[in-house]
Amino acid sequence: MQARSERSRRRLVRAAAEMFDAHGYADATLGRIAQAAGMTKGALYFHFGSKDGLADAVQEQGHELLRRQVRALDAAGTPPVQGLIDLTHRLARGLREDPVVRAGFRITVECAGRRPPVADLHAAWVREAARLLERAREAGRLRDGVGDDGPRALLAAVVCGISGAWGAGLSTAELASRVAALWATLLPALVPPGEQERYRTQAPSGARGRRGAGAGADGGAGGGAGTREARSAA
Amino acid sequence: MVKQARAARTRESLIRAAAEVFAQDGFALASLAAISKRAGVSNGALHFHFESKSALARAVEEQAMEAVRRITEQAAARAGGPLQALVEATHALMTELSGNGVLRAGFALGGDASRGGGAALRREWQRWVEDVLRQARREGLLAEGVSPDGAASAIVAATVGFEVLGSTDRKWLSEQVITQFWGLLLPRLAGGGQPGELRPTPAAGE
Repeated sequence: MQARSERSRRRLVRAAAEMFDAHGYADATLGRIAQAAGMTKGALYFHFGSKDGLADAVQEQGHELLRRQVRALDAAGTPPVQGLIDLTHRLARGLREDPVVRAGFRITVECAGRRPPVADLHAAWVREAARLLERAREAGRLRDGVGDDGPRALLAAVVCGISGAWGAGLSTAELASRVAALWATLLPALVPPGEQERYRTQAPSGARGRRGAGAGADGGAGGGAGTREARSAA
Repeated sequence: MVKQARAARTRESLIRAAAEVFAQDGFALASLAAISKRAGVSNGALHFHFESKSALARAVEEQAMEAVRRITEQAAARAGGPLQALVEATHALMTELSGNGVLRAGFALGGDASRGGGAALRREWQRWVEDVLRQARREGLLAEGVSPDGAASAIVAATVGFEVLGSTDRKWLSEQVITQFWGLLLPRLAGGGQPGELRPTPAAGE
């Protein structure tokens, strides 16, 4: 019984993310979200109570995806600077392929200043970047004399800039090559002279897509975009 | 003439009011009634000037675009070389973002997917940054191994990020933060033979 309830909840969050992503927070209706999830509006109310409740659940899931990625990096023993690079690649790919990530940032932007965001995704990513930076400093992997504030501001801005500037219009491969080019410029400013060769600026293999450059056209994650088009055409 | 001047003033105050309401409520939830009320004009007067909320958003973006062009042209005209022009323009853009609600709203509208419009301002900024860096490359002013497009990606991502973060907390738009940013990046971008000494700070007397 509990497993079924959990499944319903997940289906609703997924449907809500796709709806927020395609139509925005203001225009998404609970009726259409319930319908897309194949459930009644009553069932939706049972789980979430309101549109705000659903929006929070979507953002919470975006937050959880971030935490999971960070845990995976930590578990793999990824050096902190490489972790920063990989995290931005995953952010770019998530924005391209995952409606939950896109919807989470869209809600963060559209609802900024309107209500206290339960999980402001910009803030969450900025915090993670700052934490990795701190670890890099402790490990002696940052350039001498650059201070704390400069790199922190730079990384915070880059993380928010990727979510703000590059969400749409670029293929997975183009996004990955832009993030790599960005790091080729930033690394020499952050790490000690001669250390930049330690790091891979290209996307980690797991973030490159299953079929290399053309990934995303096959089912799964890439299907999100197709569904979205089909829905707005309907 | 008096009438025309008054109409222009009304139009201006509607654009400013729209920028404030968009910033507060987001484009999708912003109501024309709230905009006319804030501008202190009737609904009828609003409709005389703007046929729809989208028309108001376009007017906000056009005015913001003028501000961006003014900033980049001035920076290019006065500074010593392309890299210093980039520094000057970034400082001027952030200062203006922090004080000019129409410019802030213009950028935010470009990032607000509920409008379905493009991000014309961000694209214009990106185009300018890329042009300036390519010019720097042609003039031999970039350090060895620096690619103009890679550097443009980094600078545009960072400045858009400052703009996004600055919309909720103005400290991200401060001269101090932007100077730190350039203090970090400028020494890696610049090759020898600059036309003048490069500064991460804005020109004095601004």
